[in-house]
Amino acid sequence: MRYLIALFVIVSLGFILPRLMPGDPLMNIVGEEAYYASGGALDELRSDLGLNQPLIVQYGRYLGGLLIGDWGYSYLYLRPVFESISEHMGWTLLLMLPAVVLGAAIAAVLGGLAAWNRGSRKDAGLTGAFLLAYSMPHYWLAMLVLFVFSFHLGWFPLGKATSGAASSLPYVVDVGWHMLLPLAVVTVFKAAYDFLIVRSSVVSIYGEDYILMAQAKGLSSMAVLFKHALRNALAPLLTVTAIQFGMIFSGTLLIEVVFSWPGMGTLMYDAIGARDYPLLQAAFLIVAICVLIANFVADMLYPKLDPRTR
Amino acid sequence: MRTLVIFAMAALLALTSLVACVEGPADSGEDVVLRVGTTKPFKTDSRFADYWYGVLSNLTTHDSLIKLGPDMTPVPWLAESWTISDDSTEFTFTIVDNATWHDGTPLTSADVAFSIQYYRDRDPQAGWMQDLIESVSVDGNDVTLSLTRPYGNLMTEFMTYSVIPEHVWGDVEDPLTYEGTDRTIGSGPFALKSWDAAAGLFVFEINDDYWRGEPNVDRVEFSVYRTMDALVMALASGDVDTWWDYSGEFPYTHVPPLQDAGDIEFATATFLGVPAALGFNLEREPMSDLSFRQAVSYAIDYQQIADLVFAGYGSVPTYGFVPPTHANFNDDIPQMEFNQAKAAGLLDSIGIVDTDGDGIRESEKGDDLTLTLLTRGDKTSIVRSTEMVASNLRAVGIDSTVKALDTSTWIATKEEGDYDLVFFRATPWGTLMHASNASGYFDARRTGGGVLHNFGAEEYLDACDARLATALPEEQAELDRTIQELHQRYLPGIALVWIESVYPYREGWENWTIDHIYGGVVNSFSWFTVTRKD
Repeated sequence: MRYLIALFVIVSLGFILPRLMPGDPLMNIVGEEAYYASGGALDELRSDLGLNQPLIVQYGRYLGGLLIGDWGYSYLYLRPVFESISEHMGWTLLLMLPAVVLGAAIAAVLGGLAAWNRGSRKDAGLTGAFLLAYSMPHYWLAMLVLFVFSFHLGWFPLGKATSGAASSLPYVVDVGWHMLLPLAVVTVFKAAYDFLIVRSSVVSIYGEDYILMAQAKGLSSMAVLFKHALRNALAPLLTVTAIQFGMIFSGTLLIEVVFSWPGMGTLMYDAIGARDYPLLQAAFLIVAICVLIANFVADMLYPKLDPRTR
Repeated sequence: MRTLVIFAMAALLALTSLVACVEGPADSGEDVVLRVGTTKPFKTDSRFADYWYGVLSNLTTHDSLIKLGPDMTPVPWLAESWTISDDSTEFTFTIVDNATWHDGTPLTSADVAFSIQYYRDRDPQAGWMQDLIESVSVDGNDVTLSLTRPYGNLMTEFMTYSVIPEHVWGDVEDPLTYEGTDRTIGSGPFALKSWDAAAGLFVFEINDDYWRGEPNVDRVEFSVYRTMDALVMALASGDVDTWWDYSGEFPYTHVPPLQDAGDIEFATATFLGVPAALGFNLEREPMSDLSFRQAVSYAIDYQQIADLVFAGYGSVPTYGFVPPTHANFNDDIPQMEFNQAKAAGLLDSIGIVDTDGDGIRESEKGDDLTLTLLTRGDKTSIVRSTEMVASNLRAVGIDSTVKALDTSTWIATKEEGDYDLVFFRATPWGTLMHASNASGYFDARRTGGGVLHNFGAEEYLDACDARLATALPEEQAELDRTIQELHQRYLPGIALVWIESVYPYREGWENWTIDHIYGGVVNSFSWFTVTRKD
């Protein structure tokens, strides 16, 4: 029930907040130099888009549309909102899903190793490297990577999601080649964040009795770490990863800008600039639903990792 | 671990091999392919739904009745000739008889008449036609427009409206949402082959049956980048051959690295527009006082803006506002003068003085004079110019607050009149619209998100009306000079700089033609003049 209430509040805020921004969506449709004399053409367009209706009427239509699966019409793309979002969402999922999974996996392994060898040079090296990665603005890292690997070395293309020329398997390879750099940057950034969480979590359970028991039984250090310690230290990582899965659909705007990646981040940014209310409403709703679902799943999985929470 | 490393390296090797198999668009060895980089935010390939594609299609897939030639005179295009009635209320265009659409259908005068009526009735951007064009008639190859009032600038307006096929659009009620694959059909030198949003790539193929003859380029690819940094890298590395932007200037900060690259050349031309300008809110005091506006004009260091913001590619403008590229530039009008002593003297003379010795002059009410400077946050050169003006004003005792806003908010704030000085840019087309001479930005009767409509002096409005009422070149020339003089006399706005635009292109290309409206070397004329040295 609390999820439904949260969803309703989010839907309502998603309707209200964009309309609080100053600016007229029609200006973006007609262009800034359009001279509209008597204003008749604009009035007609405003009426077609339903913008001349009272806000409460627009709100009612919006809620009614959601119930029947009509998410509205984008002012920016001038086609159904869901079509615009679907196109961009695909590219966002392609980039962000592996980044979140890889980031979590890398963080789990290296975070655990660093914590297990805390105080050692290995720990100092790993922690220092991830702290450096985490403290760097990720868009700056993206630009640096693009400059070195794409421009100077010529190993990768200068952005975009594809060259546009291929089909079937070569197309898949082409897309993979285009996404390697942005994927690497996003993964590094996510791994850096997750690493610190895992390391801190493993350090906190290092002195527990069951760890001592496992060591006393004669298990190898790595066996104790990966079979006993990490299992209990992963709960916070699970929470964070669940939230990251939910936020996947919002994309990562600055990375998308640097790499000209056609994801949800740039879609939402363009929608804000254009005051594309339907597109913004839909995008916020999707992100909210995904975050709620991800948190729900995390709530379900948590007891399996830590039975004490049942 | 070792196994994992070996597996990863093998996968990488296989991936690299497969990547090498990915081919670009099919290309015979003799095809001349021009690859153009741009940062315009294209969304679709609909010329009605996407403003930027509409502009691009005017250069590639479509033709207009006339074009603006490099010498700033009308060039016959689909209209091989025209006549204008003495009272500028009737325009008759004679349409060429050998033009065809990309699907082979002949282009006729009926298509022209249909296009004008369609724009008038269905295109929100052409709302101005609704109360101007009374009727459109066809007689053989002639299309006659009857206007409700004299409009001598109609020729300029039709430089940017392309003719569309009646057999495609005749039954389309809403052009904004039409998704038919034939919506890109035009009569232009190129046909759209593909638009790939993920690749950010438009591919245009040559129209072998183009009525003006075959272009020198077989294929044009427009590659869209989100940032200028990526585009410049693409230019330097050879991924693209040149750059295109409809109304903007190439960032001068990117010129030195391209010069260092060694294989980039530059075409230059005086920009037809004004890249940074300020306007006064004449509804507020003390901006309504001409002496105050003059004081502000003296306070600004224009050369500094030209040197620092525009990297030395700028020059000090005149009080007439529009640059010398304009056909009837009034060269009797002096350059803007930077003289802060004069500015201070004028402010003293109108009673705006610093009575409490804090360095800030007080307004009539006794408060510190703090002006709100409204500027467009999406244009870094305009923001930087605004900051420099703020600094100049501070030097003469006028404090200010800079509000840099996104375009939508800037428009809304400007329309509410919530500013003292507004900073904007005048595009090439913008300086030609309405009564030309950038009057479209100042005339109080104008509407439009990017215009100020801040100046309603009777003398000015009468001059604009007179300019609009005549199509005779001699009369237009005289009125152009008059309007520029009125800008000097009343100062509704101040041009902060004029610039030499630079248009980079990779060596190997030559014989570009500069088009002042559509921005640079990529335009309808260049398709027939540009050549590759090899």
